[in-house]
Amino acid sequence: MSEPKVALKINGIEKSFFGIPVLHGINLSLNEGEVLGLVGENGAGKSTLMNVIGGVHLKDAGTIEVFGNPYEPVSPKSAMNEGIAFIHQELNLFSNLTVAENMFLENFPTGIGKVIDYKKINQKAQETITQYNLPVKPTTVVGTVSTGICQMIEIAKSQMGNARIMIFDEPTTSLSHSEKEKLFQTIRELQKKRISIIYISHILEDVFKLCDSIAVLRDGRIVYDDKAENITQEKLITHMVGREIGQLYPLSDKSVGDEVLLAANNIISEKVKNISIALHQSEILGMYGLIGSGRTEFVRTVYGLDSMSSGEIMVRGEKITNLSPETCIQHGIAFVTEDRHGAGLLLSKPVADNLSLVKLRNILKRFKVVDRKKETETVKDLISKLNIKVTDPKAQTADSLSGGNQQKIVFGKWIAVEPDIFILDEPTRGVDVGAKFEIYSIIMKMAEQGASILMISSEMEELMGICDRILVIKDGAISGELKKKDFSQEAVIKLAL
Amino acid sequence: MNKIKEKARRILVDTPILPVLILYFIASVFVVPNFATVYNIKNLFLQVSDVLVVACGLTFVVLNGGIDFSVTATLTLGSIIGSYIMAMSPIKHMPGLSIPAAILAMLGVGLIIGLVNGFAVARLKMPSFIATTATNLCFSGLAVLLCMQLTGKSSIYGLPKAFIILGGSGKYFVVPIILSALCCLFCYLLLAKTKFGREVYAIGVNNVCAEVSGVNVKKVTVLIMVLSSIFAAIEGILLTARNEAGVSSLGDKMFTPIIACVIVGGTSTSGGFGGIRQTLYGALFIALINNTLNLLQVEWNWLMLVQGVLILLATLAGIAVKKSRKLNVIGGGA
Amino acid sequence: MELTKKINYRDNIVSLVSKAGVYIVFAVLIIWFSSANKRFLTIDNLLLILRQAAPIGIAAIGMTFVMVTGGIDISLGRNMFFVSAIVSYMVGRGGMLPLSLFDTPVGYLLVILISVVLGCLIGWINGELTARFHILPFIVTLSVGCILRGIGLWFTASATPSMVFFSPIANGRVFGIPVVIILFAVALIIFDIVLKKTVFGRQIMAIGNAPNAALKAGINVRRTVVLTYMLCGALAAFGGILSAGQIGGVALSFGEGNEFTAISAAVIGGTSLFGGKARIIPGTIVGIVLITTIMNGLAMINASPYVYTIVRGLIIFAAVMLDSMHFKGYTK
Repeated sequence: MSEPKVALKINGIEKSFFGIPVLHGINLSLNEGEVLGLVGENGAGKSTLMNVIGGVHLKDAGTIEVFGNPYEPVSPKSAMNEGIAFIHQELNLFSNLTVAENMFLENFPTGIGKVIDYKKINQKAQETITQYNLPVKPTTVVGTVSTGICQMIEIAKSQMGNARIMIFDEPTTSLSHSEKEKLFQTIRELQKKRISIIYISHILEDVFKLCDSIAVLRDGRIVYDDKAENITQEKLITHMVGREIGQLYPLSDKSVGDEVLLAANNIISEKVKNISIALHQSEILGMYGLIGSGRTEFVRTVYGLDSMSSGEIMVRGEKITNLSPETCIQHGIAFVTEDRHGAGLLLSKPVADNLSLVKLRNILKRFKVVDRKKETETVKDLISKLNIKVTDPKAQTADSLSGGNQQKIVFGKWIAVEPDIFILDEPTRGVDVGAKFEIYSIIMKMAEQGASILMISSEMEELMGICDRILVIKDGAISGELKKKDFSQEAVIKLAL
Repeated sequence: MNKIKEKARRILVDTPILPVLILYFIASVFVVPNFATVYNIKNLFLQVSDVLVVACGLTFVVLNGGIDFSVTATLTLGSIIGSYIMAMSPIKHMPGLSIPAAILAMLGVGLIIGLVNGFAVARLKMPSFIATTATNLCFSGLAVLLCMQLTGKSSIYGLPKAFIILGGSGKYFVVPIILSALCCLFCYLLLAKTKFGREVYAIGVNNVCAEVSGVNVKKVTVLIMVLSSIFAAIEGILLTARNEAGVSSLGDKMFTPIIACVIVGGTSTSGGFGGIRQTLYGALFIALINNTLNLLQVEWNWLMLVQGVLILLATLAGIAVKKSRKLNVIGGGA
Repeated sequence: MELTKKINYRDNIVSLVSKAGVYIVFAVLIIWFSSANKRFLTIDNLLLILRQAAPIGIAAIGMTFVMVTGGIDISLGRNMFFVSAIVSYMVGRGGMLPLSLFDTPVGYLLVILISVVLGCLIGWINGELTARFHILPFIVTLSVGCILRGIGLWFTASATPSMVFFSPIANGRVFGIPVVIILFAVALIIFDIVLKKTVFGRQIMAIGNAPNAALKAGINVRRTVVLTYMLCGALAAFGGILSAGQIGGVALSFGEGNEFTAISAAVIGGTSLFGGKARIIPGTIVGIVLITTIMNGLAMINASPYVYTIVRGLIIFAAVMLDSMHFKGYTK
């Protein structure tokens, strides 16, 4: 067998923003028909590198070759012309257009006066749909089909453009389990067609399952690049964080108390079909479920963000009337959302304003005037307690801090009011491996001090690492409960499917 | 030295209009005829009081990322209803009763319109600019209709003397100035010092985060719309007294100068930045421009053009400041 | 992330009401007006309604395009005033276009050309300020409107300059059909095709749906958005001179508030204030004709002229209320 052709060759790519270097001389090579896993912590430079290849950002130095020919990315169009296609985490389809229109959006065949040739695009779209066996018609409006199908449409679309190199950026985050399986199958079929693939993911198991070789990006440099079979998951993590991680989860000898702090009884809402839970003192209760299982909807309902059809929430045996975030906070419930930027922080406001936001209600003088002195004390106290790296909390805005520090601010604003019930929705999503341990430690410490914690996560290992009990949610109901001694990946998955 | 520099930078970032205001004032003293007279300066301050109160109320809405086009309708409708009570109702000969009743009624108009706006924006989730446009049309139409039905004319005259004091006639000129200053101070304290004020900023920056953090977004939004309308109604009281009449076209040309005060002052239209101090400077600046252009006998249509240009320039300047602030942070972090 | 999620059937009811509701309201009003006044349901009156609807209807088509991308143009009415003021100035006080030009089509074509170019220019300013600097469109167009009004008033010298020279087009008929109605119909057909069948139309739909994704899909978002504002400016200017020509002069308050009539017409017709959703046929036409019918009917039943403003306010409120309620269901 002859030497495989090199599909994509990247030489010495440099890129800096406002004088701060983000990529330092990246070298990378991708063979034809190869699946390359690209992993790295957040902020390592993965998205910058992909944006450079995709023509979104211009590179400062270095060269790129596609099948031996020099390639100068200047706009998203140039990537398309070279046959490089991106499948992003958030899909790039338009829900108000039809499948056919979406497939041809960049390149409509037109007649007189730029009028689109609908006969042609519908016919061609139908051919592709048949080829990929998609349950849609060319004239179906995309907004009416599921996320998994949308992703398949995007892949099919990229193949219509004769993409030879495909880059998947965290493609599985919003897919259900079966949709994920179908995606992997499709990727393998693409590979058989000699298409080269870069697969970016945080989920290392998937990377090992799928990729021929793995490259690790750290602080803007490639620190590891070899065949997948030559490395173990532990070694990979070491490369990602740049140091040995002695233990992944903090140890604790806390014991779960008898008192039920939070009880949700027979909760029914749009996507939740009768869920009841009892959360004990000092307990960390994990909640696992596939995307769309109703787990996020359940905690949002408990916290009063979504409306509830029936059911009741009891805190220490007392029913919360008038359920809303406000009343929940009054009853000592804290809620850390999965979307840090969208729902967790006032990004453009100073760190101090963020930290004191929840606390304000407790530090009021007459006429609801905020007590500035107490506010400053609170902020100072939280910064030292959580080790948040900030020099001037009244001037520095939240968006100037790193992801890990931002997440600490989110925790900090809740810890300020000393709640005894924490609801955490994906508390470590988008946090890098190093910072994860710190977050686990904060969670564990809160539990040791008597707080009870309800934690949703998509990462099974993380739940098994720190939880006392795991509930598995499926189709809006609890499909099973696992005690610590019964924890195993197989058991959890079995209940979730 | 560095401290002075830092202070100057802060002023430029927080209230870029202040140095412009001072320079313009100094220039006017030398260039504009009849500007630096006691009579004119008194006039200038009265002109500030004509817009300051309503602009302060509107500041809350703009901080929240919205707008309230109905403030002019509120002050007009209030003016007509208040004037009716004082000049035409059965209790018109009892100023001791009719004046408080009229003032209460005018504030009541503000409350009702504010609640309607608040309901539309917070409950029905209508964009504020279109919801308040609709209420503006409805209530300004109602004001004209009422006035015509009641009097057959477009104004109601014959207000009691005691009420007209509020407008600052003759030696009482300080009354409206002090009243508007008090309203401004109240708004300042409310916004800068209280929990409510903090919540207004929080919603303006990120309403989802605010809600999750326990801010009752709907309630605060309704309160903001009510505040805006109530302060418009208070301005209506001052203007009715100033005109010594209820005028059904009172608010017709007022919206541009009012919104100009807020935006030229430096409050950001994308929400979350600015405040009452900015609006105060904005009101001083807009009044100063109106005053000097009047003295220079420039026609009012050019005034409108100037205000339009100023709003655009202020918004562009705000964007530039925001950008430079961001660059500083990133540069400083390296 | 959304904060509130509603139950499905409620959305269905809302969407049903917002779809069929317009026609029901239409039917009820026609029955009411025609029973109150026999003249209402005559051919002459119906033609009058269409004639009155046409100029703002043309402008409303432009507004629809701006709204598809999630923008808004509240300088539209003042654009109408500004352009008509300049055109009337050029013919009248300014004396740049002699009346003799209007003996041949040259004069009319010149006037239309000048208006459309001016309208494009206004739209270009609106569009660049909105798309390049990311300023809220209603702030941009509010300020630009003030500027237009300021300049326009200077051109009219605060009087009412004549637009009678344009009457042959604005009030003229071809084969018994008013010219403005023909122009309106042609504009509707052309721009319905532009919206539904052309690359530009599909691209603005994409931008209104997801601006960032549109950028990644290689669409030149800034240029396309600026184009929608230019289109709106041009159509508004054209509608403006037609409307002024119908009236015969550029009154001091000419054009004021027309932007809201145009917005209401678009929204009633099913175009969303939140972008990504638009209908010109039958949408915008139904919207503008409904509004004009109501105004016409109010005159027929001898309502006080001061009621008109209130009714206009109520129409906007009702239309946008339904759109907003519908919107929540749409994004889910």
